Amino acid sequence: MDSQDKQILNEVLLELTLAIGSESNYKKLLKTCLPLILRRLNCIAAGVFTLEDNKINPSFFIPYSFPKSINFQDIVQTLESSVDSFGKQDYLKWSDGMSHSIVFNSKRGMLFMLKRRIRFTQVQINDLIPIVNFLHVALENALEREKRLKLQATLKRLSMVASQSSNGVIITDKEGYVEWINDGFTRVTGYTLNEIQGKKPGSFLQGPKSDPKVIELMQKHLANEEPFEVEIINYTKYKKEYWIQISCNPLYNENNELHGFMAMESDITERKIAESKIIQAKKDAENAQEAEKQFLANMSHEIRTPLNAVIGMTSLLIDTDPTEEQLDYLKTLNTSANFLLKLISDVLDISKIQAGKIDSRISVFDLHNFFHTIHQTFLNKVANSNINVVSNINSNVPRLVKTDEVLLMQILNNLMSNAEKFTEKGKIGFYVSVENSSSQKQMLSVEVYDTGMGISADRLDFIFRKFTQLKDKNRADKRGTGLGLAITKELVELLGGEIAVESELNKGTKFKFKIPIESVAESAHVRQGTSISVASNVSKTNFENCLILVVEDNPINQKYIKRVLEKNSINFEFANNGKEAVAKCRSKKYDLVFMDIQMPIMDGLEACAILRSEENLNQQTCIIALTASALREDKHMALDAGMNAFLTKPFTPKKLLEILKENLAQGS
Amino acid sequence: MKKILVDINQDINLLVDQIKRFDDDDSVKSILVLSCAQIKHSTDILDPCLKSLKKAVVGGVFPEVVFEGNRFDDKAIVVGLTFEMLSFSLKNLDQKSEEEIEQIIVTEFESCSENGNAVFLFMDCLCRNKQPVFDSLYNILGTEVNYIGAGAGSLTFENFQCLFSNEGMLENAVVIGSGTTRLNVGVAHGWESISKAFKVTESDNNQLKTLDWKPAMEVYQEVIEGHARETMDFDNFLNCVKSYPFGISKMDDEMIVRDPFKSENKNVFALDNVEQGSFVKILYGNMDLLLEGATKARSHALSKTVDDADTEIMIIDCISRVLFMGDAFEQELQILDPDKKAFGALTLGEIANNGDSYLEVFNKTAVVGAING
Repeated sequence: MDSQDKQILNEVLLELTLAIGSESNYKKLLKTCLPLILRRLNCIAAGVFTLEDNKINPSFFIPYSFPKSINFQDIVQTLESSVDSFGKQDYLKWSDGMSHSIVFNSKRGMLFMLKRRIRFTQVQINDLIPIVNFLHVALENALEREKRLKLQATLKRLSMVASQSSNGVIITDKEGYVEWINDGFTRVTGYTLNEIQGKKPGSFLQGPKSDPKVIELMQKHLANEEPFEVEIINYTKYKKEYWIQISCNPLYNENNELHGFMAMESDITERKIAESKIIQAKKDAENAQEAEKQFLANMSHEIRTPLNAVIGMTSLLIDTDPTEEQLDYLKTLNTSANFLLKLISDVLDISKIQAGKIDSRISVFDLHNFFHTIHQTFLNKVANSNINVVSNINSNVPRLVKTDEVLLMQILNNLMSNAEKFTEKGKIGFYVSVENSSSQKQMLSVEVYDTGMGISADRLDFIFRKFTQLKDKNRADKRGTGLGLAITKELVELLGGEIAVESELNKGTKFKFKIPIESVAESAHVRQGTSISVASNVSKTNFENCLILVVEDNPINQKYIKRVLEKNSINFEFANNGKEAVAKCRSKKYDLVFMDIQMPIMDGLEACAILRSEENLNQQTCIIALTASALREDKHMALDAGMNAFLTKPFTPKKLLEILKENLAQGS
Repeated sequence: MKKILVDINQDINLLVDQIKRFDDDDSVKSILVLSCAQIKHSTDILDPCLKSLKKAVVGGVFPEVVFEGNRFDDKAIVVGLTFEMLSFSLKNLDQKSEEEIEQIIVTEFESCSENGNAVFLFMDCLCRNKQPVFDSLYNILGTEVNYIGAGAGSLTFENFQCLFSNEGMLENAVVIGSGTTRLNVGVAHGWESISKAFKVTESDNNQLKTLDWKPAMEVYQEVIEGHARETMDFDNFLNCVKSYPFGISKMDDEMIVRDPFKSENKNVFALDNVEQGSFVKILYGNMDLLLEGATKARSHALSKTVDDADTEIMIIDCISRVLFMGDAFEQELQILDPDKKAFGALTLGEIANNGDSYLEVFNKTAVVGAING
């Protein structure tokens, strides 16, 4: 019987050899071999498992339904639980009473299973091992052949697609040596496949202008088998440089092993030239914008400086008991100078807004004090008229808020000035409230109203337009730049808000704007600048014992300030530039310093920074910037340099004294 | 189960009538027809009947049928089964690829909610493309079902419509019926090897061209004459070879028998496929061993069968066994059906599987099926 079995097994081996032939399809091979084995070895099921990371995976079985049979999972579990010991054995066999299974281990990640009703004898098993080994080898070869064929087919397909591409396509092996290029690559670079096959692309494409950082980046991605996209200057065979965009992807075989890389190369030279033109144009535009900005700053400074003298001196002249006629001339001079100042400010503001140069600067401030100041300012302004200024602040308005204080001040000033301008008698004022008062993000609602001449409904649409002044015989004497309300609208929108107007002829006008604010808990806020204590021994109203240092290079302004201070019996000294100021401050204690910003030798910002940074007698003295610059960033720069307050030229004696009084009082 | 013997020699319409009666009989759920070759030219009469049936019908035409202990070559047996069947056919079988055959079988079995556990299978014996059908059936259904069936045709080996189906009489086809019932099958033959194994160095389906690189007929004749110790007249091929079939070895089991039925140009034609590259031996039948085979077949079939009045015995035995055994076949029939209750056919290839081996077509083999219902 044994010899008959041996003969059958020999026959099976020979039959398998013939059946396998040159079959390279793994499944077809199994479909051919398994019935033969099932028939000749009298089995009811046969198939192959693969073994990967100690995990048993069913591969192919006859009958197909076998992996779904009741005891199949038991077989898998038995195999998995025996993997360790199984690794050292040629086979594992067991019986479930009805049938007998045997699994042969090829030790190459493949397990071959046979199942039949009759138990295999040991002799049969021993004789089966060569057959199973033969089958394993055949299956492995088939898998290898299949993979190779698939890979070749994939490469062929890729090549066919790539050959049609107008872009350059290059395929390398996993080491990066060129295996294939398409016609597009030859067209772009001039190289044929014969010339570059087996070379690394970088060795013949890159040159002096190829960015080493990009080369390094490419090498890093290649080493990590990662896809990448870069732009780099390459060189043709004829050493002509061109810009190329490289999109490179790793190619993997069926086993997920790196096979090589495929790079798609697009000539982007024209795009790069266009890009560099755009970049240059942008640079030019930025330079032009910077020049314009500088021009605005300079113009502002250059016009304001003499205007300061004009307005200041006019104010001083008014105080010299002029005749009625002289007083009339002086008032006209004063009005004209102020109008010129307003005109310059508005033109500057609208220019900055249009250029997008105004950026909001959010800070925490006391909103109640803010409106109190507005109220006081306009009370003073209309003191000798028939106008009453009313302030009404709803109790839901938080004290400390976050928004742009300076822009809000400008909005309020514009609207209140507008109200004041068009109201002969009656009242002007504001009503302040907050929407969504319970939440942290709130809308500040401000209504600025007057009981003035009002605007007819058909003209309301025009009032926010630039350079538009309403033609009305009743308003003929109310001159303006036509920019104020346009600027106001722009500023409200810059703060994320909106503005509307309601008006009735001869009854009055109401502007209502809303801007977002953020309320701040009072305990959380430490007032900026509180660390600077201004030492002073002067009282709120008495300047007799105080000493002021005025740092100003312009002799006319020096003269004007000197006159104002002398008139108010205030002791002062002059410094002609920042350097002198620093020297004086190092040797003497002052109660307050007025510091011009733009000065020769050393400007005010540098001088202030030195005084704040080094230990000296005036390290904590209040410094107030005096400048003809109206640009907002200059104000920020002054505050950032350590100055405490800011007084824009031209200023009236009244303004000078007010700021002096306020800051000396704070210091005391 | 109801089974009726119909005398088709008298009138072919009797068969039609009986089939129709079962189609109208509520206790019959599906129909099995085993007929003699007498009906081979009656397609016109049978087709309208078969195509109009409400119930599934499968069956074949064979050289002889057996019924309650007797053999008939001019009668038909109509069996009314008490279980429903899914029935389908694969036509133009020789023109179909292996993939197409498998796909049709997969599709048919997927279309029904239950595959059943018993498959009746009848195939035109002259089809060359039989093996893919067996392979596909086993690949798909495996050991979950038991199979019984036969190769249909006549001893004249001419092409004719030899299969009963709901699509009418078919040739170059296979008809398959699948139902749920208890079916146990016993298979045995008793043939023994008288030669060494010859490598089939060239073959084409059922045509053996060379054995050990020599003309197949030469090798075959040499072995037979060596065994018979006499020169034989191979012009009378069937007479010479009826005692000497080919056998394909199978581990721990009887050989698979392949029955030669003609020779042309030194090529030998067997009833069923012999794979190129396989090994065949030449067998010889000892009468006692053959009868012992019949005994084994019956006892295997009945070994798992509960003694039940509803169990019917179906015999599928090879007509060439009859030719070889001559009068002794009556003994075999007695062994296979001692109670003279069975029905069956003497066929041209026997198909059987009891879930203990790969699905095969056998020749010169006795198959006994014990069917419940």
